[in-house]
Amino acid sequence: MMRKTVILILLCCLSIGVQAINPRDSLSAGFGKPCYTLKIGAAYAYNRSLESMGNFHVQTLLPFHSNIEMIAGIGLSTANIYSGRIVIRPKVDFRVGELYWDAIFDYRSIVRDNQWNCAMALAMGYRMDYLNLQIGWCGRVMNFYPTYDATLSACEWEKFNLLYRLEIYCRPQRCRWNLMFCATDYDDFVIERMAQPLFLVNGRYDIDNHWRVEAEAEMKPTGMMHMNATFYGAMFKVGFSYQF
Amino acid sequence: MKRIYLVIIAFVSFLSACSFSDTRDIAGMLDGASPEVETRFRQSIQWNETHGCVSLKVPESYHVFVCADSHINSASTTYLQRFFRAYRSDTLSQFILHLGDLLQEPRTYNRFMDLYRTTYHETITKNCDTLFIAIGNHDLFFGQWKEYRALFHTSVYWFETVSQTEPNKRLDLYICLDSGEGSLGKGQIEWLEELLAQKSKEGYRHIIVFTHTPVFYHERLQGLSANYPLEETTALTALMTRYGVSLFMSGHEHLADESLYGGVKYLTLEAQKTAGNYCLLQVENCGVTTSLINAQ
Repeated sequence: MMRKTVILILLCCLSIGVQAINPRDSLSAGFGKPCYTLKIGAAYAYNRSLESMGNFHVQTLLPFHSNIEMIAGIGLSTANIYSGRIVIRPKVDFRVGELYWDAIFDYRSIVRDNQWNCAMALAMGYRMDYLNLQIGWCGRVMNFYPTYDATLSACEWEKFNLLYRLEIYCRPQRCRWNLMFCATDYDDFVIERMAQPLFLVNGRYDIDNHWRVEAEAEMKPTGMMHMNATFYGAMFKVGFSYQF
Repeated sequence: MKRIYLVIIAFVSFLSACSFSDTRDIAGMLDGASPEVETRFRQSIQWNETHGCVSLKVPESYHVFVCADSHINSASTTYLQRFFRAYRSDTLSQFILHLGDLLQEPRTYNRFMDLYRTTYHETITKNCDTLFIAIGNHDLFFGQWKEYRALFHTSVYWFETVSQTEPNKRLDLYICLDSGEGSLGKGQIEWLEELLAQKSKEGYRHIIVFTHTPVFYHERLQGLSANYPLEETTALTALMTRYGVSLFMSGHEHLADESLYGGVKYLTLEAQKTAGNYCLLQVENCGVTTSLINAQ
């Protein structure tokens, strides 16, 4: 019953289109159309566990084909944490919006704690001018480095975790500037557990057809599902993109 | 457009209905009613420094009774009473660890203590020597930290067991952490690291850490139940492994779970309110054995 309702809602959304668009904001780092793009960002972050840190982030958008693209990124943190992510994204354009599927492979090396963790996710999303909704599954495996202690061989598996992302935009995606509000459980650096939401505000401005600047603020509360919510961390990121 | 308004009205009505709930502090999803963990930690440490820490004389092999998530209300206390009776009738039992969420209804701390006193005829000392509580999220709802503090004084503490026959011989170290809002906070993690660094050199047989929130997120556990943020998970597991903690116990998820990660056993207990189940620790020189006991 639930599945039928979802399909019905999707069909309704698709049937009311008035013009073909290909919105490219947010994670895709595009400029209204998929082009090879390089995105570089720096962030100041604070959280209760690690305190202050600087994060650096490089991401590329590689649209190999009109229906498939790849996003690859690396993140470095002064807290001695390193991350790499690859997203393979098949997609289909509709008259209004874009239906896409993400296969995400995310690796984090938490050198400060002698551990690594690797998250794999499959998600489906639908992106329109003012809205992007993504939902999927994420699994995670984590362990200590064998160089730390070779006897610690048992990996820890977290097999099911819900991946979600809801983005709301103030303006159509092809506008020169836009503002986005987002609730999700993952960002450029980490895929969190489902009960640990992240709240983002992102603004971007396209200087010309090649250059874009953007700024993002992220807030991470903890204990929302404990009903004892309190502030845990925040991140402020600025960056630019260059479209080739 | 009308439909959107209807959806918004339905959602707001749902939230309003929830906020009248007398058992769940829905407003706490935005801002918890009790002081945040850093404040609770400071207040707890102040109390510990004034009153000192507990040292219990026990035989070299002894039992500890552990339960979690009693969620007592005015109606259901049967399982908790059975648990206290089982504890009293075990000749090797030394103390109880409760891993949080004592209450389901607010303002029932006194009811919990009355049950404890009537089913276990022992005068509770100022330090609560035989009943050790880890605070849970339900215990903090509706600003109940004040009541918790008035009864149990501290939510972050440690105590030790020493040999009955040789009082200078240290046996085991127990550390209680406050994770009532799904985060330990900077101060508590630093305190934990200092404590473990110091105590791990003092020759304890076993180090046992207990708190309310579990470390891992397993699919068989509750879907929306909160864990620590990922950064805190790795920081905490790194500490447990580095200082050779034997056992990390938690509740909160209402289902039993067990993991071995980094050489540390992570045990999550089933909710006592579900079927009255609890855990019996057999602490001996050779190790700590955990047995999940079905109360029925």
